[in-house]
Amino acid sequence: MIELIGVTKYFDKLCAVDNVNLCIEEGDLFALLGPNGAGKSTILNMITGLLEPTCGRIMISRKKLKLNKKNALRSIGVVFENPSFYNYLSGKENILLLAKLKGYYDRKAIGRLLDIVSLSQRSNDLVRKYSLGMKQRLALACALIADPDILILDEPTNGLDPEGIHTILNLLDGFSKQKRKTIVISSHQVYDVESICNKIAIINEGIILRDGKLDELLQDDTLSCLITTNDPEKCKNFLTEKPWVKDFKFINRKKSLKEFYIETIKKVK
Amino acid sequence: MCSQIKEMITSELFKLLKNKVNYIYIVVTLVAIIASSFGMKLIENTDNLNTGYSFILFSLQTLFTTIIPIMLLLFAASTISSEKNPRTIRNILATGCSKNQFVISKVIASLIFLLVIMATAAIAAIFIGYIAFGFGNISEDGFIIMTHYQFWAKFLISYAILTISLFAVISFGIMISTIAQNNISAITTVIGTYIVLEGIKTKVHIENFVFSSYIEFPLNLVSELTEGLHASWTPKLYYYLIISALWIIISLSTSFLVIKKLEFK
Repeated sequence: MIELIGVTKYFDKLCAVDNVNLCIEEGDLFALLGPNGAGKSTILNMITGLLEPTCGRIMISRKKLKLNKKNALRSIGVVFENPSFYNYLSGKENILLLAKLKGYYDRKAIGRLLDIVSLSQRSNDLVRKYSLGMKQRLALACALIADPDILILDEPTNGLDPEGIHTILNLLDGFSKQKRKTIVISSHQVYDVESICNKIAIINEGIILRDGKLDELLQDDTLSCLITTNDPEKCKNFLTEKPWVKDFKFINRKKSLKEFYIETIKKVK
Repeated sequence: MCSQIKEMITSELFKLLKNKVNYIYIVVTLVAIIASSFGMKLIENTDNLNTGYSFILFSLQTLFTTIIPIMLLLFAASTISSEKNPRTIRNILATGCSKNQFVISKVIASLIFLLVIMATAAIAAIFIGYIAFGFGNISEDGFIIMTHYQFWAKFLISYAILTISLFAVISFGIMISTIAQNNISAITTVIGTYIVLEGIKTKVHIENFVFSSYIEFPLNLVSELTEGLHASWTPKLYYYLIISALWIIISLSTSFLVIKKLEFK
């Protein structure tokens, strides 16, 4: 559904994203992981049409984004990092404004969106009175206008307390599983996304280090050896030197995504 | 395309109405008109030409050559820069609206704001002029210089012409707003540039090329006509139209070029 083919982005002489190839299929809950400044937001901003790739192309639903920008963006809902709204308008007015720009006029449906993100009771309050968590939820409601097939969320849990993070992630999990929406999240909070995503890509300094299905990636390097022995050191030496020894068995112990992420980053450094 | 532009303009007008800061401009306009009525009572000779008509021209001339250009620059400078930081522009562009549509909607909303300010000023001036001074024929020593109808026709024409130079002021503000990184730098730059231009224009002989030099022309001309002077619209009107149009074209073209190159990291 979303394809990035050889996408590179330069800001003057700085290469923010270097030859990225990604394929995100329908119904995927895809996490783009990486430290701050890795190029996550740049990739998401290119998918949402805010930035033009220096080279390469982006396909949304098998159509070139550059040639079909308007229609493609209608099928995408976006939550930007540190969402911004008009402080002198209420939450409801802010969402209505964006809904009209998207050509969507169903006030009842907008009321339901505010219900989904638990903001209906505060929807008439000015946004300047909202907490960061409420702004994130309002941004999610705005992203859901017109029921888009794709949701792009840039650091949606940034600055939220554990309860806020839990609420947002639960909502996303629900959208992915129940409504089969394609969701792309960027985050450096590895633990947050581990529970919900099925695909990941790890990016650092603009380069995709690893990507694929989460289960496969975690299994890939994580087979452990369980050996029954009275002398572990001897056994270890023995196994290292004699690969033909049959008396050991693998157990399917999964690493946590956090361990995997840190290992991958360290390998490159 | 058209329906989206329409929606964008509607949403801009909605934001204009909801943002209480914009009402300050209207209040300032009204206060300035009221203040000028006291000013006129003090400085004008009550025996001669001190009619409602001369008050209208005096108060509007004072307003449009002093406070209103600054107010319009302040307003226009905030239009785009206030969307860049705190980055509400991202939300708009992510709905599928183009950057050009965004600028067009801002320009049209600013033009509507200008018309509202001009209408407020005119209505207030006419109302106070009528209450405080009354409307008689414009005459001197029993000789009628101008009838009611002649005055209102000339006034309306001059007011319509005035819109063009004030739109040039707004276009200049929008250009700075597009270039500046944030609201404060846009306002500082636009006011700073305006003050510098006003300060040096006669010294370096560029007054014929500065948009603000022509603001007083239309109402000044009507004022001269009401005093029985032989004043003519041309040839100054041609310079006025050419210079104003040039400022509008250059400012808006620069705005479109800058916004096209603008990247949101």
